[in-house]
Amino acid sequence: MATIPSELSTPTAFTRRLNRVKEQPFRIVTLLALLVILMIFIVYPVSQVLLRSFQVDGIWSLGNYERFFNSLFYQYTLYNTLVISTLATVGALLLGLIFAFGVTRTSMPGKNIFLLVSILPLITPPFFSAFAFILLLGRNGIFNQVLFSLFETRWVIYGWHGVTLAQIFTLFPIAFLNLTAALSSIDPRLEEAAEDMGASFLYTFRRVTLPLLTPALFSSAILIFMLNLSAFGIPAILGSTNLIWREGSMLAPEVILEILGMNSNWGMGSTLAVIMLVPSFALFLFQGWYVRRRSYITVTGMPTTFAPRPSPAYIKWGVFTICSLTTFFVLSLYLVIFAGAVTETWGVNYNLTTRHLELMLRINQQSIINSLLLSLVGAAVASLLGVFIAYILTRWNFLGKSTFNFIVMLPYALPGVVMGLGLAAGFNSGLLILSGTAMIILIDFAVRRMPFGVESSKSALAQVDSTLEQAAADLGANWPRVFQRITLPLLRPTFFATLTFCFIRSMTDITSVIFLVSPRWRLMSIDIYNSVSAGRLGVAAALSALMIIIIIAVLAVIWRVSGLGYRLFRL
Amino acid sequence: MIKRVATLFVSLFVVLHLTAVAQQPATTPEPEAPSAFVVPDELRGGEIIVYSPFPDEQMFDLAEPFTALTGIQVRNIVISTGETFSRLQAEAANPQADFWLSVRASIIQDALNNEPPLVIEYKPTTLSEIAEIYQYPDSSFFTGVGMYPLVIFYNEVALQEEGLDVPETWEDLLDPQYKDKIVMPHPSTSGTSYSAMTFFLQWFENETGDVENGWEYIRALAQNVAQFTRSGRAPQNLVAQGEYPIGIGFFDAVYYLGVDGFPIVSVFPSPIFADPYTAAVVAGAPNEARAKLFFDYLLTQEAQEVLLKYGNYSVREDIAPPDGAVPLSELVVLDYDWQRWGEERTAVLDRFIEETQVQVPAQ
Repeated sequence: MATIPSELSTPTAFTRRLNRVKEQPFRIVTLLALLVILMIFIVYPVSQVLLRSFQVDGIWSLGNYERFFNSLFYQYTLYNTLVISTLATVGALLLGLIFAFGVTRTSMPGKNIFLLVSILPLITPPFFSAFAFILLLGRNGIFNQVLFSLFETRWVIYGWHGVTLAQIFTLFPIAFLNLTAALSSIDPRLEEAAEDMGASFLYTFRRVTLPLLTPALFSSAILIFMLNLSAFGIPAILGSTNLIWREGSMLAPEVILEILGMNSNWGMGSTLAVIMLVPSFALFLFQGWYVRRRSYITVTGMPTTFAPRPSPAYIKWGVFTICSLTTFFVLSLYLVIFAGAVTETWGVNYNLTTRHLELMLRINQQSIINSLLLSLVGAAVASLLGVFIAYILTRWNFLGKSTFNFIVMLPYALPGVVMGLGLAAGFNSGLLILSGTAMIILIDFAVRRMPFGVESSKSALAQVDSTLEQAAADLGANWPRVFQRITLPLLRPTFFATLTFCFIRSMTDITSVIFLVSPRWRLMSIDIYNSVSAGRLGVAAALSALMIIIIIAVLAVIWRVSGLGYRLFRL
Repeated sequence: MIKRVATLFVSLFVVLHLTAVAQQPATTPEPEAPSAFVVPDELRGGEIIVYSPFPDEQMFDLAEPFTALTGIQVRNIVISTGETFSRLQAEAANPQADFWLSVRASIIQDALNNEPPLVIEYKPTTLSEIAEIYQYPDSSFFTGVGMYPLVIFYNEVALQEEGLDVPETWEDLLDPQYKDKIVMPHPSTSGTSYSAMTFFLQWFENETGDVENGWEYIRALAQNVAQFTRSGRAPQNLVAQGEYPIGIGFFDAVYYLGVDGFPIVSVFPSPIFADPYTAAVVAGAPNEARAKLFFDYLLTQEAQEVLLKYGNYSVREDIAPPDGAVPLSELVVLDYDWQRWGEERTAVLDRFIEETQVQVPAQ
């Protein structure tokens, strides 16, 4: 775009500079306002969690940390969390890799079905699979009934293996989508060249494909590990017993129990949250460093039109078998939930009934409406804020930009419990009392999802040539008008994708809103969790099924309105 | 493809919804107002906010007749006793809730002693309607609202499959055949379990004059416990599903899972812990008068019949115990000093961990 002759550009460059000077106060005010908002709703709540972890009964003390490091229970809890998270991350990466390889590098049948199945876990509540595991693989589940009738033995799902398995099935789609995108951008001719020179399939895979995939594998691993680390629903439901260190528990459920349980110890709960924050935050920093470095080592990034050469038949059918089994399993999880919603008492009486549905409509109506409403508004705010902040970060130059960027991305590194805890602790007294309101839930949804909006809008903006905006500015449009008429329309697809993602995540979130719900503002996800805790599996199944229906319905609408189709999931 | 699937799901749901609506009773029958429960006209309408660990369903059913009688809407949230306490503390300057339902008297005492007090002293106007043992005339705040005893429960199918005998007494639980077959909550995270532990201590002290014998029992019991769960209600769920054959916990959840069809059965040992739970009006409640009215209502026949449905023994003499529950007259109820165990909490929990080596942190 440097083709504009210089004699033509000189006067416009002058006007542009003039415009910029005229806009200066406006920019400063906008930036300051944003900064204040970020400080109040991100930095302040996090600082509250940190502060509380250093207090015992309102007095400054290292007592909580002392207790942590002196207690075997807490140490076992940390080990359990780290080891199970690692296992689940490796498992999810492997499964994701097999799926991605199958879809991009083989001619196996049923690819569309596999793609579809891979979306399902992304749009369902994370505790959903844990709950489905109980219905399917629990003592009264179909699996164990068959096993028992054949071999007089049963397989206990409660424990570290259950948690690991459920986490793998929940998180493998992230690896799958990332790796599919990466594999599609690797030129298959590189692999073909290796094979033409006599390398076996496995050798090629190991020496050519895998090294090229490393960046994508790595970033998926970090994201999945962070999600594993802060997971609550699955460990809470399946991990109550039989973990690797039997005397320990897992971190996220402990944080919640410490605060919402009988003792209601905010100091210790905050300390556990901080301990959970440390590895999460370290990985976040590491990833930032790695991504910056990555541009040097990427060999090829160009998409290719060449169809990859099909891999050997044994690989194709091997991959196909694994994908089919996974698909079968994922689909059974869903089937079981829908069946559970209309079954009298799962495991005891399989008669059809509408009683759970009736009960749900009678009791959970308000929560359903609240969840839908708050998630939609929260997602819209998160997406708009994301687009706006991304615009500022890519188009404006100002002092302290990297710090600003850091604060904006901070919620990405924060486990849900930390954010929820911080908001609950920070706004229940003082100048701004928000506890018990819808506002505090909205803020949580908006703030926690905003980084995704910023990230995706940033990469979209990088592809939008800024000359378009400059042209509009040269024609006399002021900055808000340029943003509204040029930038925003160009970001439409990104906006919709972010909106979808944020909506789904907000609907299904438990870990942070569990501290924020109040009698006037209850949420569906918490109702599901409470139903499972109270042993009302039928109602929990009905609510879960309804939640999935709502999500699919909203997805279908966005899918249609945005015209994006499957690209919605390419975030 | 997705679209078609979505359409299918949506239409499926609509159909289910319609069936559900069609099967709902057209009108709720208007309950008859009982004599001692009077609703002043100026209190009709409005709402109260209730903090309670009661499941939504139970709270909803309990509120329905009240709303029909008074026009007052009841909003609730399911939160534990501990969290309610800290919420009330945090909100003390600006109270959000009106009423605290289902809590032990010792906790209410703590809430009254808190600075500022978190609840107020109130005795319902309907007090005389309930059985004398639940009236506590000497206390200015303790009124029994409902009761469920601490029981042993087992999964019939699982017990039979594993070839175990039905445990009949507390002593039976020490039998080696039950090693790793029992599940119960941990006292440091569950009020249920704390009640159980202090019940054992009180029992042996009353019986032998030495509380150490109680500790010996707890030590031996812990040998047979496969798991101390973090939540007070988890054992009932786990036993109902047959993941463990035997559990210790409160009767109400056992009863309700039984109604649901699970093969879970209660054993009522003697002596038995049968202290009632109570309720309280929040200090500075925005709707204090309506909250008091709700307290009055809780002792009426309407309310007590709902509680009965959820496995509570009624505090009224005109309502029989739940189906399958042994009446208190046939049991030896332990004389339990709730004030003392409220005060000795920290010491008991520390000792428990020391004795059992179950590494769950105490307060």
